[in-house]
Amino acid sequence: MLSRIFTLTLTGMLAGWISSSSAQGVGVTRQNLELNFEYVSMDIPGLAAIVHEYKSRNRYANSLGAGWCNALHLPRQKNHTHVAIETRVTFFSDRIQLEDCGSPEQLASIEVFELPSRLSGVDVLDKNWPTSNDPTYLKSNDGISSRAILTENGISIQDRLNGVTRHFNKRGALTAIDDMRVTLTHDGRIDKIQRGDQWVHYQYKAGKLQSVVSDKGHAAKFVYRDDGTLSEIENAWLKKASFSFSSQFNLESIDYSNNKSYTIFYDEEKDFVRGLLLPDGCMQEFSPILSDDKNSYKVQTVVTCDGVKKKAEAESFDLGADINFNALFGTKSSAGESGSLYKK
Amino acid sequence: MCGTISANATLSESEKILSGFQRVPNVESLPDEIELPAVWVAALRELSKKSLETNETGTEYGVCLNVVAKGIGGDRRQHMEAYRLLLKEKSNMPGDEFAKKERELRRLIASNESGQGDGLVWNAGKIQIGDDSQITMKHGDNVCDGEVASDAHTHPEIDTTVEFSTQDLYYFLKNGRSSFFVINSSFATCLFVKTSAAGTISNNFFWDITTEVTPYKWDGTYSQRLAWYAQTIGVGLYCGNLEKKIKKIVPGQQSLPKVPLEFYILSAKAYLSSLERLEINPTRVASSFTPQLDNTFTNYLTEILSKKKNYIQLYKGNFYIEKSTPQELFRYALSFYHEKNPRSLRNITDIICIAETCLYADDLWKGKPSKYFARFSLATQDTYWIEGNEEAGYHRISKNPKDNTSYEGACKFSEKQCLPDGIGVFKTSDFDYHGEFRNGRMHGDGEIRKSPQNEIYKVKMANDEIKEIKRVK
Repeated sequence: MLSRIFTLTLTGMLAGWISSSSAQGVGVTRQNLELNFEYVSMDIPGLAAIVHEYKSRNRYANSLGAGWCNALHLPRQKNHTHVAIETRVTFFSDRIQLEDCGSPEQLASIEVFELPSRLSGVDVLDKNWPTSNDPTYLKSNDGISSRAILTENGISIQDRLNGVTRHFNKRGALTAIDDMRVTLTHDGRIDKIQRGDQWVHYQYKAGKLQSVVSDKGHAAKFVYRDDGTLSEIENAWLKKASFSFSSQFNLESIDYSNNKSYTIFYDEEKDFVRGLLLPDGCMQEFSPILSDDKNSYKVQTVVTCDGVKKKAEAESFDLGADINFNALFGTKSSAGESGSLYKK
Repeated sequence: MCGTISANATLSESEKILSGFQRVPNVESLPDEIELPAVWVAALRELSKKSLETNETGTEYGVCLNVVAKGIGGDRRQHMEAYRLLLKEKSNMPGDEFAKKERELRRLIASNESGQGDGLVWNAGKIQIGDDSQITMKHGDNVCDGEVASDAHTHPEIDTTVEFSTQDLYYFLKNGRSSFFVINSSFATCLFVKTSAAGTISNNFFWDITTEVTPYKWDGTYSQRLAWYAQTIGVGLYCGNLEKKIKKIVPGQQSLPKVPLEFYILSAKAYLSSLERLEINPTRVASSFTPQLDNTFTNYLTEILSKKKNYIQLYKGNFYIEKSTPQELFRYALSFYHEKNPRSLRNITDIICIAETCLYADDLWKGKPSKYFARFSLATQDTYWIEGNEEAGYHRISKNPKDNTSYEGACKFSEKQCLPDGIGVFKTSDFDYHGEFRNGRMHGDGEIRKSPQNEIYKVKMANDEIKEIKRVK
């Protein structure tokens, strides 16, 4: 007879999320061995924290470069909630699609709302589009995440988990987040976020974000190399963080002015993280086992500190029929086209 | 145990199932035969040899069977470590020298020269030693690297067959492993394999397997019946010899062997007693460990079963089953106890009914030696019943009709058995002893009463022997 079970579990979460004004987090998502990094360049009490997010497998490229996406952290009781601001709604004949940080082809975060049959094929500018007297309520396909309301002005989508509502016009462009008004530049970038007399302004030069300035005069500044990759951010507290990238535009190192640094190693052929060296000298080594049936794989992680193996963990993932295995591990063909939004 | 490397990312159907890459939807979808990886076979052969000791002493042995990512460790880890050391020296070396070394190490870390692709390596841990009739498997870095996909352990060889226990199946259902082996000294092995249909464990798990599967132990169709039960909970059963193919056991739905009603009464009492031991203030409904419907037990059944109209007819002190089978009837009654006293099955004490002997034991799940709290054999009518707990002390009631002896009084556990210890009464056909006991023997001051003469003696005993005696009546 046999008894006890020893279970290995691991959450695959970020190494150090901090919700304060100096929030920064580096970690590897086990499910797709992608580097996740967030940097807060400014915190405007009562409005939002200005966040720049990097995901190594995302093909989306914004004004900071490939894999970057701007976001806000909105205060929610003791914590904050992450809200992507580089977002849009695309309209199809049978569905509406919410796309955060790129298109599906760019491995963006997508939510789909199927249209009722009476609206199928109806163009957003069509006279049959819902009016304010006749709003249409939709649930996202997973049934729980979000709820959308179609009105004569466009569409409002509320995230049911954090309660944040983002409003889009009938062309799918972001116009507001809760009661904060959002204006975009002529080429679709975030220009200004404003509530009352509080605002933050994003300033660009040649398609690159140069600074984020607040109504109080605080500013975060951004510096680039000749190849267009982000070299340095000086945040509103005048602290600097510098970055280096591989030739494939993968973020390879993050160095803070306090000498804390992270180093990331990739398998660039398959585009996943092989290892992460943390400031404390501990190394996380990731090894996937890929199955040829393309719907499941395993990841084994070994943590070594100062050359001594500390722990090993294993995790299995069943991707399900609706997730494309090739999309999880494939080449990053369009990653270098920095500065373009929503490439298709 | 050395690993062998499978073809890169190309796994056979058996390998997909054993590694956990594939969970087929149900038992019917499992292949008819399963082929074990060579490394696992080698580990199981070693384990089988250790089973010779299991035959002699009952001590079980085990081994964890794992899969390890090919790309892990090796040169890549060394290069990563070199990189870490290089970073420490960064401030002490020229920038271009650092950059050159840094690039080279990055190239080595990323290159396939450092790893061996993204397939898997089959592996096995070291053989682990357990206790009598049980083993608590250890896993973790130094025992079983990578991901533990399966466990294997030994059972004593009985007629060259090998069987899983109820607890084995329960353990397997609770953990996340894809398969689970048992093996004996003749290389006979069986394994359970999970399918997607394997879900949560029913509250009635122990009762169902005790009454639906255990009775088949004596009619030669146990494996088929176990396969049938396992299939109902989404688990496939394979059996065979390590030297040959391991084949799926075809589930059998043969009719239930004739099992005396007393077996079910006893099983129900064992089950209830197990549950009662989990209660802080138990409501005693299994008041004695005999196959009779004593008043307390009958009253409980009467109260519960009266809710199931047109199902049975109840009479005071007895009952008549009208439209049901005994196992269904008791299952219904026990489910009410579960509802009233919801407890995690994880904590349930161990009910064992083998042949026509039922017992319930404790501590099996704690990795400690089992304590038998009750035992009854229909064949010998041998009764053994323990009440109490560690703090308050234990009380034993036992009767042995074969030699017409009985004991009632204090007892103390010595391994599995609670031996008379303290004040108690030992009765034989010739005399009764009222007095002190130690370690299962009459030891200390007491009285011996002889009937029919009604003689009474004061005695001083030492290890069942009279050292001093004085007649007082």
